[in-house]
Amino acid sequence: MVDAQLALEASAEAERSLDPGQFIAYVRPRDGVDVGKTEKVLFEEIERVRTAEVPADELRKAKNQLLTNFYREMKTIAGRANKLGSAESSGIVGEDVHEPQQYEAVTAADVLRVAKQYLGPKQRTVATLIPEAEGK
Amino acid sequence: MRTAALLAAAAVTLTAQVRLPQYSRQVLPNGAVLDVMPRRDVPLTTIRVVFKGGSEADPADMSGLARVTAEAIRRGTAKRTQEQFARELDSLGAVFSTGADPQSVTITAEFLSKDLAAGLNLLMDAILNPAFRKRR
Repeated sequence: MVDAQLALEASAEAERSLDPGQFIAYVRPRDGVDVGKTEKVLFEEIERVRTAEVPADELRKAKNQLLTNFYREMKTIAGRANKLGSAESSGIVGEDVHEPQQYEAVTAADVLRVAKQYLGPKQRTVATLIPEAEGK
Repeated sequence: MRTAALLAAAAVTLTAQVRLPQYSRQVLPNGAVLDVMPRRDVPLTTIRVVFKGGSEADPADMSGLARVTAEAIRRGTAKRTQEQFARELDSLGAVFSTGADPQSVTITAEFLSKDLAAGLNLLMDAILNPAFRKRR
């Protein structure tokens, strides 16, 4: 979406929590680009993940990014403390913090299965934030 | 007084404990100094390349040259466009940053240790073959 000059930024993340959380996809359209158009492209992208397995290189890339983020946090004492604290508060007990192994275990078939189950059109809430014109 | 003495003793002990981890130092045939400090608990590799000469060495009529050069290093090489370079960094989950201070220019790259060859390849390409394309 950024490559197609539609958006300044596009991202997605899943909340890690004890209770059921949310999967949030976020797009910041470029100035002057129709919001409906960026929304359509975003939904098409989600639909692609729901209909076919993600390519191996995309999966590897996602895993590499998750792994480097995890290890970057593990570099410092403060990061380790933070990791343990958030694990406790999301219901994961100390010994079960094995993020790298968990990331590595995910397959393209898992991504497809989860996307099919949770990212359907009827399961989503869409919010569009359009600032009022200056001076209003 | 006794407390003060105890505190002083504690301070001495603490100071004695804080030591730079062991590292090796070698001078390469081209004069570059290579310091290596292994740390085995986190599988990340960080490479920091420091060049002597920073903004203090900017010619009088080209103020900012060191900073601009440092910034331009990440904007594509003879072999890779800026987009290709960014895409490859992204696929490794790598961090790549450059900067200049008064006396040095620094280029830092961090990636998973398993990707040492690919990460080193990108870093070396940026340093040895920067394109400095006019358009950017």
